[in-house]
Amino acid sequence: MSNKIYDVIIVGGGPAGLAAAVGAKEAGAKDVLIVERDVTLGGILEQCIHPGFGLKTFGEELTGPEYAHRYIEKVLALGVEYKLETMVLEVGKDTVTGINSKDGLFIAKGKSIILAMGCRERTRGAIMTPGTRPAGVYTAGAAQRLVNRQNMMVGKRVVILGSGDIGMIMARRMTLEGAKVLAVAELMDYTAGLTRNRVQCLEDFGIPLLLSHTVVEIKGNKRVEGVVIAKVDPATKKPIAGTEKLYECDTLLLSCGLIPENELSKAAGVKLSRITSGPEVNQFMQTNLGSVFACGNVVHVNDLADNVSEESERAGKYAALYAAGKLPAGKEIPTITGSNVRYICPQRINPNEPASLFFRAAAPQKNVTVKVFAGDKEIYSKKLIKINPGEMEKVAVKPEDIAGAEAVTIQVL
Amino acid sequence: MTTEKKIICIICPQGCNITVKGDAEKGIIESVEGFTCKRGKAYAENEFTHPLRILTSSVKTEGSSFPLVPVRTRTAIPKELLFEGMEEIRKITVKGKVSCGDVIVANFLGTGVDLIASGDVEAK
Repeated sequence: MSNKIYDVIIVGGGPAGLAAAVGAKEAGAKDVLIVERDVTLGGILEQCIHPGFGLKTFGEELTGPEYAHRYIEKVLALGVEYKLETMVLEVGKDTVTGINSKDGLFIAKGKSIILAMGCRERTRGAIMTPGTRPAGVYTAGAAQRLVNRQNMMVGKRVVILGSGDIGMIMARRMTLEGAKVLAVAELMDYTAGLTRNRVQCLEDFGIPLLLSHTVVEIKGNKRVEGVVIAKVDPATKKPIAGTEKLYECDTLLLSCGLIPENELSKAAGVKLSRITSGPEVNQFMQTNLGSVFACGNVVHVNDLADNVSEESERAGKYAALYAAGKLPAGKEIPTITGSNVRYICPQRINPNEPASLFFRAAAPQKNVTVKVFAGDKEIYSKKLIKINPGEMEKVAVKPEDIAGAEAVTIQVL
Repeated sequence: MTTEKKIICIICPQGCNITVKGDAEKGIIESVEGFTCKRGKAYAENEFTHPLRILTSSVKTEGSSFPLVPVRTRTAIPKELLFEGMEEIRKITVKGKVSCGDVIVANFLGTGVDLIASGDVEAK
């Protein structure tokens, strides 16, 4: 590795990393490097062969690989450098230590670093599903990669636990590929994923959705032979004795949530939010380390790739400004979650600059009013017919509205 | 024959429950209830008379950098053709380099819609 000092180094070449690179270049960064562990750029988009991407960003309905393709072309045209099949071992304030079979171990120096590592799926171990430990239990995303990229069918009779988007999308994929999907069981009393996926992936194919149900046992020795599904009490989420039913199947797919992947961030000393499990950031997507920025699913799990791109272009822009010594600094104020708000990203804002506050409701609620307060003063109020934790909301705040306030609070009433 | 169909609107996150009555085969709509906007009404009417879906899948490759390349119908095709479409897709093998946007099958299933590659693979 040369002694070159990059303006911006980006860890991860998925939707977040690609958009961050575009944002950084367009904001004037000269030398930008993406470090990616897979064999191609594009990240998880490459296995998301279903449509539904790009409606916001490009105004047309693209598949995941097509959406990635557009960003990859931009990144290449802008002269962004990238390293594939490269594992990042350590991130510092101005260094990224990586390894691959061409360069060996290397340390790349950067004026700013962007964390864009994305997230991981919750596994069977993480949700503690009882039973034997046979083959045939996959996370939905692992099955998606095997089926869509590697031409390996994972099973013929399938039960899906969790109604996350990937689970519902895999219910459709498996059905189209000739498997029988017996049911999608969801612990909560509402769907975790988007309504359009419930309609187009489950209802289109007559796949039963069992709300307030969970898998209480996995049966089988070498291969899954069945799973036992029981109703749960909607209040306590505990299985109700006597409601168990055996579903004979050879495969169980898990779509039980995603966890931001922050081993590198933690080791670097980045402060993480206990609610999102991702870095706490300001409206510039800047972490507590100043030179380290973060964007996309490593910060908080987004429902749309389009939102990831928007947020990441912003991270790229501000990382480039930081590298040029032009990023506004100053005292920051916290954003505070009020009633029925699970989290707000950014967690803190520079009150002298405009900010978009992204937030999720804690529970579904109908006929609500979203209110934003600067200190005690109400600065925003909007009625919504419905709010759903599966769909992120956004409000913009202006410096003149929050001048002098100690904090900004969002309430869903 | 007059039938009734309940449709969940997917135009926006509100997810209105819309009920359409009419003769779907003849394209006759007698009543639409439960919508709260014009786009929702139009969506429900289309869903009732001729529901359309984009079909996406992947086709086998030979001599390419990946065993599969993703494909899609360029625009939506009638929903009832999805399984027939999958049968056709299973028969296809492409060779070497394929680029995003390449036509894999023109006029797929006689729909007037092309089946196109939605990703890239390099020749091996």
